[in-house]
Amino acid sequence: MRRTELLVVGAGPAGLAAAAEGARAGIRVLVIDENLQPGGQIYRQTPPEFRFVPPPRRTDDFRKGRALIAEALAAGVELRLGCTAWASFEPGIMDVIDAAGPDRIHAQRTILAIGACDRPAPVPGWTLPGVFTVGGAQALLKGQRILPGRRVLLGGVGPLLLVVASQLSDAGADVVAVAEPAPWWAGAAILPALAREWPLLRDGIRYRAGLAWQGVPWLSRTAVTRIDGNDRVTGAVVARVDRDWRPVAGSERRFEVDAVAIGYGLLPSIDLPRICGCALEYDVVARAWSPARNDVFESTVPGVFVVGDGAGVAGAIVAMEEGRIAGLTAAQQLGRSGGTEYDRRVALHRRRIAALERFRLAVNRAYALRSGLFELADSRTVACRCEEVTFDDLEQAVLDGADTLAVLKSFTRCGMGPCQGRMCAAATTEWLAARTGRDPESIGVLPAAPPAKPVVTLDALASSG
Amino acid sequence: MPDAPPRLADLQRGPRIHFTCDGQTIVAYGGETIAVALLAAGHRTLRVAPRTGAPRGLFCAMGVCFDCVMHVEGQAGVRTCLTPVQDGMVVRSRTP
Repeated sequence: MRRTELLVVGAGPAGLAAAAEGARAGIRVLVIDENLQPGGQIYRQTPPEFRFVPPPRRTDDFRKGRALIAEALAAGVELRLGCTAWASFEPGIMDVIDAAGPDRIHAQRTILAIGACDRPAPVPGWTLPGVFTVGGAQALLKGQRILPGRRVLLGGVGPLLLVVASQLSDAGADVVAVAEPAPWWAGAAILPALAREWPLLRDGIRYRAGLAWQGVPWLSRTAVTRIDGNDRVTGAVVARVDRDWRPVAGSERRFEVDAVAIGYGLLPSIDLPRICGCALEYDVVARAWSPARNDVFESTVPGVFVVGDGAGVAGAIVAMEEGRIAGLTAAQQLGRSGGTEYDRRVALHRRRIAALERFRLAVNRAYALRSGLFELADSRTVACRCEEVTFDDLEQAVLDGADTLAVLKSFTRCGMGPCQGRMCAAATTEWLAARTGRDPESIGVLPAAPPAKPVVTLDALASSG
Repeated sequence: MPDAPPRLADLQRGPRIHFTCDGQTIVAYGGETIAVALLAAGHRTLRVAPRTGAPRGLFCAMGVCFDCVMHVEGQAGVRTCLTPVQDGMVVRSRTP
């Protein structure tokens, strides 16, 4: 058993900023992260064994991450890496496991800053080796400096798709096309919301211009509809889509590729907040569940805060601002930071978040997902990758009366495997909502149960006494 | 393997090491994850799905999807996208 005043789960932008504020205010802060390097996804760092020879171009995120890590360490934050939080059986006690075995961390306050993961859309062939999530392709590039393939097709929507397409092309991948079912003006529609956010605006324009300069085709109103191969990806098909993102017959084009990256935006990771008992709310525009929070980002469980993309995807800047408010508030609740200085700081960070709220809303509106996206799978396509449940199996369950995600899981095992629904729940929700003529919110969520991640062996638990 | 995706040459990796996957010797560099060393060696399939026997490889590359799990040093279900490769490591695509 370990004791700390503040436990932060996740060493990305939100978690590190929260930890730095808490530690500077004078409370004892422990940050855990299951990666071996701090930084999270956007600020992902390379392993210590890697040495940059010449500093590569476009390493802004790498440098910003390094600065934030340095800030947290200078503030006195303790980092425990390679450590996965998998359960919380009692309030204020987090069950974790690392190479040394299982442990329990007793914390007076907890900040969950666990980020988001990609939202894939199932299409025939999406389980083949060589298919990656868009975020996964970026993780390989940033953290390991390797390309996902030599010839790559990207499919999806949103800012991350643009960033990753550009980074892969810059790194030397032959990006054969970027297929985005949103209309060509979706990206342009976001620009007014960035009028006062020059660095973000500049980056967006740079990425698009760079791709155009390198001759990478940007295919708007087009979706990846099928991925081919026997034991690995050898090709993929794209098709033009209509306003509801349904493929237009006869518009198919095939590309020979050895890798495909798909990602239709990001989904907050809600596994750990749910295991901690945090209530969720549904965002109808983002089509996603996230933990309900008050104005200082405390969840419905007193003493448990949720910040960053894991509480609603808004990007790294908002994540850090939220983290700072939560870190300050945790310290204030423990009697350390407070008074007018606390009020001033919170107001400052709130203003920054409010300014970027326009950007978040503009992105969500411009890239609002349409129903055709969830009809691209055929009856033999796998819906649940872990348990190998097909859409045919789901159809049978619906005929047997399944009308919520929880019932669908009990009938088919969909969402029961080691990913705990992180890769299938959102798409299955949309499919079931369309199939039963109900709204996605009423489809509900999967039952929350530990382990959030099945990294715990019974042997390890037994040996821990 | 000629069609394996390339390691980028813009940085220096850790020392050259060797490990085995299903008995085959694979070259890797310090700091690489098991899955990345295998990808660079042209091994995109990391395991087969138990029910249908369908091949599976790296997918999320960030420890979320568990598609890359392999049998590593006697332990099943290890996420090879998060686990650094070590010299002499024994990796298997299925539990022996």
